[in-house]
Amino acid sequence: MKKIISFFLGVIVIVTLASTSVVAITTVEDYDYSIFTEGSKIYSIGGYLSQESIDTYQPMYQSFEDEMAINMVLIISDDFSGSAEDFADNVYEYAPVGRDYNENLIITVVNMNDRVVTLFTYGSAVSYFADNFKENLLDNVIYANLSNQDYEGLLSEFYSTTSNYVYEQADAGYDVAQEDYSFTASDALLVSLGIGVVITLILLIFNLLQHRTIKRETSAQKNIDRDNTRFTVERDIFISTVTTKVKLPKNDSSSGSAGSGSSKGGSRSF
Amino acid sequence: MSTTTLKCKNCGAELKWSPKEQLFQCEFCDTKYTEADLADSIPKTEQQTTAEENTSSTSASEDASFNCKCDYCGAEVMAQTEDAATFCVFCQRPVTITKNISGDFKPDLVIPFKVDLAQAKKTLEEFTKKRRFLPDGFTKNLDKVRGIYIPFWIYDGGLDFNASGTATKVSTWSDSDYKYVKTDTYSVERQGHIEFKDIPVDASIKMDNAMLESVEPFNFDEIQDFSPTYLSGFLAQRYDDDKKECETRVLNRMVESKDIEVNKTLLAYTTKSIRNNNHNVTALSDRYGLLPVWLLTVSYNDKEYCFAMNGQTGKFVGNMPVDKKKALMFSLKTFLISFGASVVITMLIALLGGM
Repeated sequence: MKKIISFFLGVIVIVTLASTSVVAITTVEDYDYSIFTEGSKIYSIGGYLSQESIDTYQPMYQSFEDEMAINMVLIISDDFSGSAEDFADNVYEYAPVGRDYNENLIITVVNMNDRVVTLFTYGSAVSYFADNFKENLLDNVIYANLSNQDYEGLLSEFYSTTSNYVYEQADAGYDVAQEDYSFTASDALLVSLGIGVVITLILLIFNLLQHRTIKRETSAQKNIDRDNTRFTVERDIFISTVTTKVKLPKNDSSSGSAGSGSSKGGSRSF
Repeated sequence: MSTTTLKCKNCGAELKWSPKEQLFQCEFCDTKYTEADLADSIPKTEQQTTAEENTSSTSASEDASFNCKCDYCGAEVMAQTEDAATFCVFCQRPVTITKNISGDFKPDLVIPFKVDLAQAKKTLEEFTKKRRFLPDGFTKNLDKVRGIYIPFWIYDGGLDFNASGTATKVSTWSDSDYKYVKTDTYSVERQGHIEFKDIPVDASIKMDNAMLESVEPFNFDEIQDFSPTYLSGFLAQRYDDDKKECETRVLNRMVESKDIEVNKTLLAYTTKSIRNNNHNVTALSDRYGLLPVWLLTVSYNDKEYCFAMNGQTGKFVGNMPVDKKKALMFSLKTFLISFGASVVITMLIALLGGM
């Protein structure tokens, strides 16, 4: 009898602990990210965009990702809990908005509760999109459209402005794939090969030098009588100074590490 | 030809200098003597006549050899012109050739051997153990081990110098638009005096200068006034190198040291260009001394490899052959290990980076 009671008590304890964990997980997530479906990039929670517009632009956003490996996401929502930054971070971390990956993400989060719009970049997009581009996007596209409550215009211009920038960059030979460099197995082999050769050469030369210990003494440093050696004149007279300056090549990227990390491009109230 | 053998006052056997004991020791009855104990046995080198030289020399050439008589067994001992101490090939007893340590060839100073034969052989073994690519059994072919007093000119002197030129300090910095390079130019002048003490320059033509320079330094605090007794049990040579040539070598070393000392005061500068660099040697003096060196010869593949050890400090030098097979195997092993280890590490980094 005692055994049966203990068994049931044990089961109760385990179930209680398990349910506590579930509650904890739910609390962490704090938001139902299940609304983000794989490959969907346009979200209008609260009915700000027509389904027709979403259906029109969704394939364009997707094909752009397929072509240029950059994920554009627009979220207009009146259902926020927490900051826009946390929200965007969670989308980046958990929501499968990109078909294959979320690495290079430019995301516009419009918080309709507080009427604040914020632009975020993640992964290689952090350094790929220049600061001045982000400022321009926020001021002349996003803010301008939101001020006029033109959400359809925002959807359209966010796509056209961003894609144009990316195509221009690609024409200039600047590919986001360069930013999205990942260390592959062949790279590891190549690096290892180099390391192996360098270590071997260093040790080989060191050991070979051990075989040759005869060398000419060209100075008499060991025979200097320091007590009777002196410098009577040590004169340094400043003559001139010349300063030259060389213009640095313009680095069009924002700060932030390539390939990882995130950047808040800025926010505007409307 | 006059020769000298130090004999034990007890038993008449020959005496040898013991580097370990720093005393003269009779190999037969083990009696030990200080240099003072043997004062009356020391040959009067200043009284050596040159007549003997003329009659006993077999050739006037530089490589001439001559015969002298072993004081102990009376056998004829053939010696080289520059030999100051040798061994009788018949009784193996040490023979000092008086004419080569007297007159113009009388050394002023000597540093006695402090390292003995056993220690020299042991050092060679330890020295070769540390060489990874040494052919197997290399040290087994140890041919000759000779303790030799090498003739050196020991120089003291000073160098007054005056060096001037220009030097620059370059600093760089940048802001968001430009990289700046600032070059400050200075006129620099250095004057002074460097005093040198006890620079040894070997005065033997046959000896490899580089090898003997490699066993430096000697500790000149332990130098003694020359006495032929120290030569007992060792080989010795008299100087035969051109003194002017030795002076040139010592001056080159002094000037090089002066340049090093001047450069030390200019380390704060990025570049320096010394245009006027003058020096004047003051009071260069020399003394003639015999310094102790162990020479070890190893025959390998029909080639002789010579090693030298400072007979006072034990500093050991020598160039050794390389077993190419060993070097190749070592390279292969090292490469495989380092390559394997770095593959594991880089793969881990790649995996972790991808997570």
